[in-house]
Amino acid sequence: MSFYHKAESNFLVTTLDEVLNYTRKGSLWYLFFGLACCAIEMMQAGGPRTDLDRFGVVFRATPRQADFIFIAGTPTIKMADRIKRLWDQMPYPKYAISMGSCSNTGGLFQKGYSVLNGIDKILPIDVYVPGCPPRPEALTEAILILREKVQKEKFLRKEESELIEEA
Amino acid sequence: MKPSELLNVIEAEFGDFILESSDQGFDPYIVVEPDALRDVSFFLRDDERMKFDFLRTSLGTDKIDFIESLFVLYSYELKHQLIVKVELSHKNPEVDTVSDIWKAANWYERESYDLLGINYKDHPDLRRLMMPHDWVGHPLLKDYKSPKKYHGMDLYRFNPVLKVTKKKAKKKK
Repeated sequence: MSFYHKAESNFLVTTLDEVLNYTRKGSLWYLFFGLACCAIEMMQAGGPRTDLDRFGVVFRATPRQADFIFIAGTPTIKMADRIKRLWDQMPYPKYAISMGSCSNTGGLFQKGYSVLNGIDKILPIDVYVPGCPPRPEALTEAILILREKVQKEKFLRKEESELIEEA
Repeated sequence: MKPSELLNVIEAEFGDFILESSDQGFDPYIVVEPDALRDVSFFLRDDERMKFDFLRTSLGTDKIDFIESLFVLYSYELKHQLIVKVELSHKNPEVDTVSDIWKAANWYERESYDLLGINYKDHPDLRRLMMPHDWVGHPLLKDYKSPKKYHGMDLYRFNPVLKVTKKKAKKKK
């Protein structure tokens, strides 16, 4: 059996970025972190019905092992400092999904004296999910969008300084 | 004990210090002079006819003319309820603590201090309960204005819907 004969069915030509991103998007781990009622819906999304595990999306109990974070619930001003701290502890590349009206804009509690009007005041958001709370299906959609974003990214060509500026 | 009898007993004991009392509403209440709050509280807890051994809740309200702090008391043994109110001035909202009389008052008083700025004298641990420790102002006062920034976070958000409705209102005029 010649070399060419073997090669015909076993070779695939692609770029390194594509391969790395393909592997990266297949195991997006998120930080298990909930702020309010949205967190309950987030747990539902991890359950058997809209099984997030099939995308390789698994929760992690520490920010140091997480690739992205759900901001699930109402971010209060007092909590905002802590959220920022968790975000800073996550390693690059990192992403954030804002889940629900409260973390998008402050939602129902926007005029409250203790509520931060949107989590994008303190950290960059990749996907906004509307809803109060969003259904698990909507959350799955958000993860599909995030996967697309990860696949298109040219991560290897980025300098470290660029990454820090982005975040 | 019936509410009317309850109030009669208290008024007989502290006649001058009870500014107002009523048993017409949902629960009987008395308004006490701030200086006499501790004496009245001890009487309500320890007296054989009262035996208020449980502080259900404690609230504070800004009533514009004065700041009100109230304590809802209940007796498990005699099954009666009473509300004790204190009216405090805006300039110097200060009253003695009852947290050593009913332990439950500790955190309620911290909450009232946090949101209304009521200063409970001799409270063992009077810190803010809900707002951040370095927060300025007391949010539930009527003349409170929230700060524009906190720890570098912008606390204002532009509302595009509000702008459109304002424009429409101007056109109608």
